[in-house]
Amino acid sequence: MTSSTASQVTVSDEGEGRLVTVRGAITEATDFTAALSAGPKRVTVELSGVDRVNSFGVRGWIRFVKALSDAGVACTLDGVSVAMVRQMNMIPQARGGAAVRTIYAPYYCEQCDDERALTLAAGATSAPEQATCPSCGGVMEFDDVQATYFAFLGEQRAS
Amino acid sequence: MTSGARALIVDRDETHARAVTEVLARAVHEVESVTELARVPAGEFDLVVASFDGLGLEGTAALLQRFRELRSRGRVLLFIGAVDRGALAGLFGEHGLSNVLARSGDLDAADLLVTVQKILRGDVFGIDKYFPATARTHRMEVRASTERDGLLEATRAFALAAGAQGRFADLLCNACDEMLTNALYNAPVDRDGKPRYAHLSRVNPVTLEPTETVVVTLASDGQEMGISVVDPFGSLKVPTITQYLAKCLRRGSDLVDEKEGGAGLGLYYVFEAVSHFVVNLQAGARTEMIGIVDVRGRYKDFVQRAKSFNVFVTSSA
Ligand SMILES: [Zn+2]
Repeated sequence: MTSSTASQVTVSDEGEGRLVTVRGAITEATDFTAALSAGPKRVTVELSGVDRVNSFGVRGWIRFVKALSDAGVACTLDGVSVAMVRQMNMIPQARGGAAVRTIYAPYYCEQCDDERALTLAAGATSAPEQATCPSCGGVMEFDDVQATYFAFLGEQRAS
Repeated sequence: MTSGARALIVDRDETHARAVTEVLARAVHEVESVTELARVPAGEFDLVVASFDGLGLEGTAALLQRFRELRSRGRVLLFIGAVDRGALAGLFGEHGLSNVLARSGDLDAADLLVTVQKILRGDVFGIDKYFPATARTHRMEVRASTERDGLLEATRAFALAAGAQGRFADLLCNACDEMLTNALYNAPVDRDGKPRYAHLSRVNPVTLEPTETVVVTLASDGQEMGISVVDPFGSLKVPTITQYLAKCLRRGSDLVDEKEGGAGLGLYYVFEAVSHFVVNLQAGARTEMIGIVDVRGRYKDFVQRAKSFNVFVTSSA
């Protein structure tokens, strides 16, 4: 995680689709304006690089997701980072009407003290309890609670 | 010991009640213990320590009804273990509950003693009360919002140097970020008590006067990590805190306040980032927010533990 308030929002259009990549910390300084310019029918938001969200950042994020929804643009969240999953569990409106493709899950290896997020298969609604540690080859364990970590997938409220 | 002070324990779990009695006996003159509300003796108490789990209550309505009864007998400190967010929201919001200690596993005697002493005496400020004298601490001062990134970096570095996992360090940074925003934007008031910067977007930088330094203290003893942020304004009000938390815990459609300023969501973010959230208030003089993260075990243990929440108000420094 970056401790600073810096974030980066990049936009690339291809045909009727748009890829929005968000990195760093989503804070009051995060500007989604470029991602909201008219044009696309579908927007995929890539969130694997989001490592922190504060209470002001989440407001801007919610406004962004709602604006897409109000404009009739289909929104898919991809590579949803552990920090973003936490947000969507804390604030139901943070997911809005967006579909979710892949998400990351947190793992911890007791042998070598390694912690890392592993990407889950598209559409997964739970995480394997164990995975192989890329650092030491030992067993990493899912370091959260299945029911609460994946709760946001079951909540679909109007934002 | 607070001379003449009288405390009541209401707890059906006699083992827990005995442990609580031992701690209270170090702080008050007289401790009485009953297993159910029907047996509560007459008169008023300086402190009522009740355990909702221990009362064997069923359902939110019963829980809230019982709380009203206890409230009429003295200041209430509540032990809460597994309780749903809706029930907590009701206790914070409609009943103004402001003293909750998490109940999980063995009684944390040190935490209970500090809390009881703070309720009974006026001496409430300082993160040092929650840590042993051997704890590592780091003190920083801040007056400008532009210094925030540096403070967040320092907080993260402190947590990692103390041996915390990355996600625990993230939690401490989250708490630090929200507390600093509160101290720099929401807390400052003019001589008439009117907010100075609360209306500003948080991208607008603010700088406090040289006499208005905000003090940040980090602490760690290997079991817990903590952060304290003290502002020299004392403008936060108890109902503001409990009602905002209640609103957030209900997770309704009004959860995210669309106002440009607004402290509400930030308090909820702190509550969610810590194991124990403490607010010390001296009206018109200072506010201290303390967040303590229990780093024993793994992150998944942190997620499952109940949370403690206390607001202390004092008229003296
Ligand atoms: Zn390993």
